[in-house]
Amino acid sequence: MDVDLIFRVAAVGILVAVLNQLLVRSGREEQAMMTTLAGLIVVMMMIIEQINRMFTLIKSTFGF
Amino acid sequence: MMEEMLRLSALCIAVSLLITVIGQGNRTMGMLAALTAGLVLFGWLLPQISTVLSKLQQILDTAGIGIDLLAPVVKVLGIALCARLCGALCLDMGSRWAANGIEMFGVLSALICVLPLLERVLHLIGSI
Repeated sequence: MDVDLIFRVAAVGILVAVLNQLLVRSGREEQAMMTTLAGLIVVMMMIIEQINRMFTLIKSTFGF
Repeated sequence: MMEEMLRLSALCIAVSLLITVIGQGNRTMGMLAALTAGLVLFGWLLPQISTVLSKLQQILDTAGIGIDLLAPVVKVLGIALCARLCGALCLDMGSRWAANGIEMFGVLSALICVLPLLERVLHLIGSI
């Protein structure tokens, strides 16, 4: 579980936040929503594997 | 161990600031960053807990106490940690109902894990 995963997610987050603000200011709310959705999917694909590893680690640590 | 603690504290402060910045621009991405930070924090915590548990197991072996007494306690510890972290993340995301649901289910699961111990105590008292 490495720390730069957080900063990768933060980078995607900042990128999506900036794009979101740009699109909203230029009157394209739907595209801003799509951008947020795309960012959500990208980040979920990055961390879904970590969540699975985490629960496996919890089961083995606590003997479930 | 102290350095690990300091490093983790610094990391949590830095990441909290980062999440605040991201959250202002886009709340969804802020929550995802918080979820990732929670995962990394838990990922750092678990090996330390394994170390403590194996030491505890050695002590119990030395004292001649059966391991089946420790198992429910360890499970309750796992349930408590999981419920606490997931509940806090849900609370951060504004889902109070989910946080309360997780905490209640955690209490129930812990209770079920402890029941065998309770039976042994009652059995012990009954045999006196």
